[in-house]
Amino acid sequence: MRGPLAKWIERDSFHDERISSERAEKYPLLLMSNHGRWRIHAQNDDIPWTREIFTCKVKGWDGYMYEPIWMHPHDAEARGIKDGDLVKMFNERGTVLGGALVWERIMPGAVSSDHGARADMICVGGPDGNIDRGGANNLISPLNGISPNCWGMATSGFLVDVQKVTMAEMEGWREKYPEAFEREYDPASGLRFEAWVLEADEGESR
Amino acid sequence: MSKVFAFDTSVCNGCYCCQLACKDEHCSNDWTPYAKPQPDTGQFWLQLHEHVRGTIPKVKVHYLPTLCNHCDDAACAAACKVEGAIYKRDDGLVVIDPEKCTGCMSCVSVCSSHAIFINEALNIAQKCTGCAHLLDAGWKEPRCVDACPTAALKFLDEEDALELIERAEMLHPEEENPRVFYLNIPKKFIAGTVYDPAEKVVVRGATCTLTGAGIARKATTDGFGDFWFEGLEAGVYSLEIAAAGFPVKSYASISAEEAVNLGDIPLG
Repeated sequence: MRGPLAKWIERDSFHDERISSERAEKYPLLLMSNHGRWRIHAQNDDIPWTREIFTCKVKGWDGYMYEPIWMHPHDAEARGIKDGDLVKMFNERGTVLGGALVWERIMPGAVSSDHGARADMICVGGPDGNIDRGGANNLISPLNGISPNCWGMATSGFLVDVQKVTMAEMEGWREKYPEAFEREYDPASGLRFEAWVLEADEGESR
Repeated sequence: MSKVFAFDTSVCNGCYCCQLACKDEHCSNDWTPYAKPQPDTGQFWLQLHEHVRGTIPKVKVHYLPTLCNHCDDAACAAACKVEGAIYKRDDGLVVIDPEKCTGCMSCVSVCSSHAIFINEALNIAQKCTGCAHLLDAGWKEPRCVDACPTAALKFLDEEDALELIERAEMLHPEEENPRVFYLNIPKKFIAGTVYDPAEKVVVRGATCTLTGAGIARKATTDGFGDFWFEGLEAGVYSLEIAAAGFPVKSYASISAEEAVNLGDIPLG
């Protein structure tokens, strides 16, 4: 029912994304996903001079520039995560990787990661589900729209958990999905044109 | 005429325009004899840093740009092995001559500000030139200052800035007569939220008295039950919180080496 005034709905047939949910036992953190400061949705995620700013990208131990995931020190410590660690943010819909920014600028129980990072899939479907190295958290946002009465994407305020990505886990993915790690990539600007376009017509403008 | 940079922390909103404008001026642009092109990434002739104080929910953030301090008795110039490769201009700016520099790296480690970078492709040391190429072409200020929308970063005649310099701090006072001055860098704070545990509401108007480190100050809790003592020197303080109808709450010894959030404080 869409009444004349907006009111709080803890859960309904469309969404079950609150920390009061049973799902929160597995995915206890609420993700806040803002419009990125350093890009417009997915555009401008390839600017070398902004990617160098530490709130734009976090350099992982493998040299890849990961999307920052802000965590409070309490939540990070409980998970053995340190500032700058390579982490995975996940729920039953999939996994996106990121770099941990551990500091006091985020509430305990919440994590923050901007939407719109460019997807760089390690695998889609299959035994490991969906894993995205680029940190595009729209890939794990609720599948339903914001309301049965009003269409819109529910892109923020949903349940996730964050855990550390070990070197062994990363190496496992690298062995299992080598093609995902062979795309042309430049830390300064991210995935290159050639990473996605397999054949370009002669003379076609890039 | 000697010039100085002055940065006022209290009006910087962390937009990063200074850092980006610096790159826009120097990446891919060859300003020989002042400077050769800066590599597209990896060097920051001016870099903005973010500093976080306190703990949730009493958290404050401020920004500080670092750049070459253009020291009058520059350690880099003293360490330089090539005569005239690092020189001081009449306006106070210190410039590395890109045609004389041999990339020996002697200057890099002696700079307390870590403001000198090595360009491996060109085999030279590079840093902020104060946009000397623009100043000599008639500009009044370098690009970073020109791009600052709040005038937090200024480029001033030294003789007009004497009063400001008097009040200012330096990030590396051990450097020999630096020319970059910082105003209003936040100090420590002690803060908390006062509440009535019986009624489960915050207490407005409680009188908080802080003593220690040679000061005695009073603050009153606001509509959120919050009190803030800002601008404190590092030290040990004692605090008393008094409100009508409640027993006095006392803290004998609060160590404020960093900002302190005392959290939610029940009265009684």
